[in-house]
Amino acid sequence: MSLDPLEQRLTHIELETPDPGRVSARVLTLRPKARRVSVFRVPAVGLGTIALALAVLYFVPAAAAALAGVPGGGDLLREAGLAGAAGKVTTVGAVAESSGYRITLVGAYADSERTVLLLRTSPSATPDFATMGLTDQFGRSYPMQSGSSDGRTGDLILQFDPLGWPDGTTGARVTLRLNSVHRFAYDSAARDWRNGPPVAGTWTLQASIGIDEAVTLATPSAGQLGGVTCTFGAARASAATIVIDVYMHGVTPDQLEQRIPDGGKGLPVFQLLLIDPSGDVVTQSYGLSPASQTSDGTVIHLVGFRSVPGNYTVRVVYQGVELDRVLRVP
Amino acid sequence: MEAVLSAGQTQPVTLTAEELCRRYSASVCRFAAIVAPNTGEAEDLAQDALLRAIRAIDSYDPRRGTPEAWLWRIVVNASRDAARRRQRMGWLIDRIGLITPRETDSVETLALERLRDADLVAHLRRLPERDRALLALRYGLGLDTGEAGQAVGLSADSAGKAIRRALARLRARLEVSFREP
Repeated sequence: MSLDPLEQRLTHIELETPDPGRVSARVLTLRPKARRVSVFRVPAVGLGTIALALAVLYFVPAAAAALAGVPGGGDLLREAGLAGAAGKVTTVGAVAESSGYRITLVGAYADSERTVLLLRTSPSATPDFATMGLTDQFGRSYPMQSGSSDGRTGDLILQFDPLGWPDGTTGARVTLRLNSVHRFAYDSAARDWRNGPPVAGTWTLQASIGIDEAVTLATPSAGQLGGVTCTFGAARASAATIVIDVYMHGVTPDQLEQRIPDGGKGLPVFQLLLIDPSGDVVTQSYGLSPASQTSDGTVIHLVGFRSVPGNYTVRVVYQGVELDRVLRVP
Repeated sequence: MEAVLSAGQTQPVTLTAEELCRRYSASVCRFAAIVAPNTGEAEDLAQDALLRAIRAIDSYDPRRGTPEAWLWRIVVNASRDAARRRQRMGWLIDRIGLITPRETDSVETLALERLRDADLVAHLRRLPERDRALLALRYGLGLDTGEAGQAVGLSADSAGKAIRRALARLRARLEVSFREP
């Protein structure tokens, strides 16, 4: 069968692939070792538990002060969606200086959904994301999910994927490396904050982060949205984050991504909101993709910020019909 | 931890973790380079996929298919889970509307001539997760439609159609980028 030009290009495409040798070496180091049956199994389990407990004590900083005590720390916490977790944020205070830029890792927070680093830059700067990396003590890298910066204060919030096992149990020693930053300054001609040209340097910042454990919440009851049944799955809340799985039965992700014509870009046919006890929308993210498709519909993982305990509302909107369910968050 | 692999081979071969890495790590890395959004994640995906395969090596049954089919199912599942993790956090969600593909060979040929491999990979990486997996299996690894379909849970016929749709979506993206200044 002959291939068209696009297929030919795809067949012979030059790719920047990971180094198979390096990947193999890491995989063979990390692979599970064969278990040995031992008559000392029970003592071994006991020792394992003690080792784990020691690991927890080692990784979780003993004197993690609340960041709210740091001048301006409260603003950083609110901006990062950590207002409800002030006491769970580890104060770090690590400083790195290079090429005239001073970067301070003010605090860090991690739960099962995200790892958040709170930084201050002076002068105000943003990192070059392509050359930045967060790794843990096992050498695993964590992709960045989002970031925001305030040019006036030099505050910088970086959010990464949640820590992997066993970091998620014991806490982690993480290292943030930056190799290039941009001066972040107000451009009066453009009337906007703009990144300047890259400034090369080396900034390495380390922190030990404990994990904020989540509690399981009561699952809301199912409901109907027109002809579509909506059910809810696991719901959990940590001090800073609320997550819940929402199932839309009998509809595909493509159908949920459709827009209702309005003469402009159109209105989304499907929306998912998390609303806090004071009525503010605290949805952080939810996404739809072909991977959301299940055997009988679509599952959407909703992530929102927890600021205070109380009743939070999950609002599902589909084809103009709304369904509200309450999550009681301790 | 090892498995006896005999499908398609005259002599059964005992596949150890080392042998699995030696035989397949390059292909797994190539697959990962196509489906992952960047090189860093490609490395993580390749590592995760190979680790899963090693952990499951005892479960491989030669009577149920070739070792390659078994491996590609694991690799595709690993990439699907990685995509799900990204999607859960709502990043890298591409909400560009689906553009009706138009078969204009001249535009396509012209665009392809001007396009660097890196740009083509960038467009490829913006396709939906299943499209990326299918194109990576079919063109990145050279599997036929039956083998590619087996890895993603489709019949050969359905996989062929899905690959054509994925190509059409990629063409549409290329065409839009070519027409934009």
